[in-house]
Amino acid sequence: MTEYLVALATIIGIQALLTLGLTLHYGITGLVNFGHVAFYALGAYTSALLTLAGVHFGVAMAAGVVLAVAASLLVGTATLRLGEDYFAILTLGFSELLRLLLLNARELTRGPLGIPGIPRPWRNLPGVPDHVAYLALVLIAVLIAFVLSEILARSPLGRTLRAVRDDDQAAMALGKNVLRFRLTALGWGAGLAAIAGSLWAHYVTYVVPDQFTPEITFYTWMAMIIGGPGSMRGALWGTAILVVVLEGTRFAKDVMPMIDAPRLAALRQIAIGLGLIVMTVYVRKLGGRTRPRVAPASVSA
Amino acid sequence: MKLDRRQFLATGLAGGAAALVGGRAHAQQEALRIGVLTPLTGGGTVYGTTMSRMYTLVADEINKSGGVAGKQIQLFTEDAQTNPDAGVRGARKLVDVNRVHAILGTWSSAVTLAVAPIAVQARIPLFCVSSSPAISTFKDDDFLYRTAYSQAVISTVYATTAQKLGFKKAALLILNNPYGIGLGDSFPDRFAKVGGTVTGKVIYNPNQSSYRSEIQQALAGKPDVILFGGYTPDGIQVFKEWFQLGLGGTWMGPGFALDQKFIQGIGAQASEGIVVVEGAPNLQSSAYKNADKLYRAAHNQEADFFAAMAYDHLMVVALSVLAGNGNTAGDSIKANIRKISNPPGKVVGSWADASAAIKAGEKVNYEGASSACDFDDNGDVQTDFGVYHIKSGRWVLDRVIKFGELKTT
Amino acid sequence: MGARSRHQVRRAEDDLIGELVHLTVTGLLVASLLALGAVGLSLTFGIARFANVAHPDFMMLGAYTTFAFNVLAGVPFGWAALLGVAAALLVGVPVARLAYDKLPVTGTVQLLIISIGVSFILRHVVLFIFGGSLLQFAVPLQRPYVWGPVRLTVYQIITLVVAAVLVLAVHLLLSRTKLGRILRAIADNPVLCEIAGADVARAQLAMWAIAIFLAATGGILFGLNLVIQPNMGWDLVIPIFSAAILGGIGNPYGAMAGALVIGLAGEWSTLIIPSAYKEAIAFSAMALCLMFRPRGLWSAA
Repeated sequence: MTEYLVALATIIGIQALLTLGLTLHYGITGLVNFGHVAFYALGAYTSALLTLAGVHFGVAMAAGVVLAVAASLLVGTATLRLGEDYFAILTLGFSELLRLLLLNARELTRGPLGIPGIPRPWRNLPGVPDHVAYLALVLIAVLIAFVLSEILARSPLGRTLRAVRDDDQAAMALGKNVLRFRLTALGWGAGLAAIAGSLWAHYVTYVVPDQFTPEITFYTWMAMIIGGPGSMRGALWGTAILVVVLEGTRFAKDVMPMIDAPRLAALRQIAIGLGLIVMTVYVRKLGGRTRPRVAPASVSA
Repeated sequence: MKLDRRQFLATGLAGGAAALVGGRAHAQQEALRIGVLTPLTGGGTVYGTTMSRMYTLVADEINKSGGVAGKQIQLFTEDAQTNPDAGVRGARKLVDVNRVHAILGTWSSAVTLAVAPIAVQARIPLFCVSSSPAISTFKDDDFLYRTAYSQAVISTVYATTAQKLGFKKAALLILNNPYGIGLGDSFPDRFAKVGGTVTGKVIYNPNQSSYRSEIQQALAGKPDVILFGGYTPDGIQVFKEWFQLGLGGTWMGPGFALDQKFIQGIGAQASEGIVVVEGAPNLQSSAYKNADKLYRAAHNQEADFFAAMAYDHLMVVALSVLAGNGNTAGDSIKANIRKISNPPGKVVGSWADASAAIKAGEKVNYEGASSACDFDDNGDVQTDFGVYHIKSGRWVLDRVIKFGELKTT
Repeated sequence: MGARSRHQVRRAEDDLIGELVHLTVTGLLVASLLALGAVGLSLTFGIARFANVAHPDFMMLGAYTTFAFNVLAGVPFGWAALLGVAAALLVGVPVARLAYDKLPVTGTVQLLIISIGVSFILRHVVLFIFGGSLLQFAVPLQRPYVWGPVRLTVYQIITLVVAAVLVLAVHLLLSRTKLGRILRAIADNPVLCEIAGADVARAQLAMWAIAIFLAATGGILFGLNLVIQPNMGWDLVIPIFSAAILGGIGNPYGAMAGALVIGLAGEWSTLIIPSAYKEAIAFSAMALCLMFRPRGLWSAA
C-alpha cells in the first residue's frame, strides 16, 4: 500500500510541475496555451535519448529544458501576436505536429515502438528504497519550481506580466515590450514542463508518442482551474485533487462492477469536460482578459 | 454560485481515501494472486476478452479441485486498452495495490514493452502474447515469457507460404506500430532467401480519413501478393477502400486481424481469397482438448489460438507454484517454469494429471494448448502455423506448417 | 518509409498522370468533407466570434445518430440519414445554445475553454453509449465506376454531389435571403445590427442550425465512405480550422476554397512525403497563412 501511495505522490509531483508551468502561461500572463504537452514531450524524449546514450541525467534534463524553451520561443514569436483564438489553435496544432514527428521519425525516436529501458537516477542509494528516492527527487524539483515560480510571480516581472494579461494596450502605452514579456513567461513555463517530462520518462522508464496527446494539456488546464488559475499554491492543490480523484475512480470499478473500465474512463472524461465548463464560468474570475468580443483578426500584437 | 474549494478538496480526498482503503482490503488473503492485463478495449478487444474468459475458466477449474497447494487463485483484471500508458497504470495498480504474483495476458507489443520493466522491478513473471522481436532480446532477468510467435518467425512463415503459393513479388502494407514495423523489418530478408522480391513497403497510421493513396502505393509495383500488417479495425477500413477501388490483388495477413469480425465487417465478397496465416494451436495435445472443452461449455465457441495461450499462461504459473510447494514468490515461480514445462518429463496437459504427477514427486513436461510450451533462454516458444484461405466467408485450412519445417536463421 | 519505396519503383509517365488524377479525385473527396465542416465553422467563428473547437464533433454527432437509426433500429440508410440529421440538430443546437450563448461568460477565452469541455463531453458520451470500436453503416460495398484513371464508387459520387449542392445552397442562402443578409451583416458589425433592430438572437439560432446541419451531413458522408469512431471529428480539428482560416474567418465562400486547397494539397503531398504527414500540411498552411495573410488567402493582405 505504501508503494502505491508513493507512486501516487510521484505522479502528483510530476503533474504539479506541468500545472505550475501552465499557471505561469495562463494564470499570470493570460496566454491560452493549448499545446503544453509539446514541451512535456520534448523534455521526456530528450532526456530519454541522451541518458541512453550515456549522458548524465542532470545534463540530459537540462538539454530537454533548453530544447523546450527554444521551441516555445520559436512558436511564441511566430504566433503570439495573432490573438488568443489563433494562438490556442496553433499551439494545439504544434503539439499534434510534434507528436506526429515523434511517431514517424523512427530513426531518431523509434516511432511507435517507443523507447524502453530508460535508466532511473538515484537508484541503489544505501538505506533508501528506489521508489522513495525517486519521489524525493520529484519533490525537490517541485519545491524548487514552486519557490522560483512564487518569486517570479511576486516580482516586478510578475506584476508586469499580470498587467500585460489584463490590458496589453495599456502596458504597451507605458512602453513595455509586450511580446518580450510574453515570451519570457512562455519560456519559463515550457522549461517547467520539460523538467516534468524528463522526470516522467525516467519514472515509467518508457516513452511512446501515445503518451503525449492533447489530453494531458487539458488535464493540466483542469488542475489549474480547480486550484484557481492565478495562484502557484492553487496549482499544487488543484493537481493533488485532480490526480487523487482520477486515480480513485480506478477503484470505483471494484465497487461498481457493472460499469466497465472504458465506460468508467469515458465518465471521467465527461466529468473533466463538465468540470472545465462549470469552473470556467462559475468559480472565481479567471485571470484572463475581460474584454468584449472582438473579431479575432483585428487583435493587435 | 461560488464553489468552496475546501469542500471540493475534502470530498475528493475522502473519495480517494475510501477507494484506497477499499482496495487494500482485497489484498489480504493467503492466495495466489494473478494480475490479468488484457486489452478489453481498443484494437485488441476481441482477443483480450477471449483471454480474460479463459483465465477465469482455468482459475475456476483449479480452485474447484482445491486450489494450488491449498491456495485459491484470485484474479485481478485491469484493462490495458491496447495502449501502453493505460497498461502501465494498470500494471502499477496490480503490482502495488493488489500485490499480484504474476501478470498475464499483455497483447499489444507496445503494452508488453512498457509493462515489462515494472514486472522485472517487482520480480514477478509476465506472460504475454505479443509478437515484437524486441521482446526476445529484452533485458528481463528471465521474467518475461511469451507463448506467441515473434514477428521474426512469422515473417519466415509468410515467406515460406508465399513461396509455396507461387508468389514471387510482394508488397507490404503495415501499421505504424511495433508489430507492423517488426514485420516490415524482418520480412524482406526472409522473402529474399526463398527467391522473392519486395516491391514496396507502405506504412500507414490508424484513424486516417482515407487509405486510397497508401493502397495505390502498395499496388504500384504490381506485386503478386500484398502482405497486410495491421489489426482488425484498420483492416476493415483498408480492405473496404481497396475493394471499392476495384484494383484487384491478392492479400495475405495474420489470423488475429482477418478473423470472423473482419469478414463480417467487409463481407464475403471482398474477403474471398485472402490468405490467412495464424499460429495453430497444439491441436493433438490433451491441454488443447481440455481448453477447448472448457471454452465451448461456457461460451459455445471453439478455443482459438489466443484462448489456448491464455490457458497455458495460467497453467504454467499454477504448476510452477505447485512445483515450488506453494511458494508464490516471483523468483520461485521463475525457477520452476522450465522445470515443469520443458522436457524431459512425464507429458501432462490438464490440471488433474499434472497436479497428481507433481504431488507424486514426478518430473513433468507440460505440453500446452497453444504449443509444446518449451521455453528457450529468451522465454520464447516454438509454435506451429496454419495457412488458410477465406472462402465464402470462412477460413478453410490449406496446410499446416510445423515449426521444424521453417528454415529460421 | 512509404515515400522512399515509392521512388524506388520505376514508373512510366502515364502512370504518373494516372496517379495525379487519382490523387486529385481523392483530394476532392477530402475537400468535400472538410468543406461541410469548415463552412459552418467559419460562420460561427465570424458571427459568434470564438473558435469553437467542438465544431467538428457535430460531424461525429451526425454520423452516430444516423448509425443509431440505420444499424440499431434497422432503418434503410437514406431515411436514417435524414432522421440522423434531424436528431443531430435536436441535440446539437440546444447544446450549442446552452454552452455558448446562454452561459454568463465575460470573454472569449472562457468560450474557448468551454468548447474544449463540450468536445470532451460529446466525444465521451458517444463513447459511453456506443463504445469505442470502429463502426459502419449497414450499406453494401460497391464496385467503382471507372473512367480511365478515375475510380469512384456511388458513395463517393454522392459525397461530391451532396457537398456541392449544400455549398451552393449556403451561397444562395447568404446572398438571396433576408436571413443571409442579416448573417452577413452580423459578421461585419454586430453592434450596428443590434442598433438597426435586427433580431440578432434569432439569427444566431439560425446560424447554429445551419452550421450543425452542414457538419452532421459531413459526418454522415464521412461515415458512409470511411468509418465511424468517436474521435472522427476531433481528428479533423486541424484540417477544418486550416480550411476556414485559409479562406478568411467569417467568410464561408473562403472556407469552401480553403477546403479545396487543404484537401488537394494534402493528397498531392503524398508524392513527396509520407502520407502520415498530411496533417502537417494542413497545420503548416494554417500557420503560414496566419503569419503572413491573417485575413485569409483571398483578402487584401
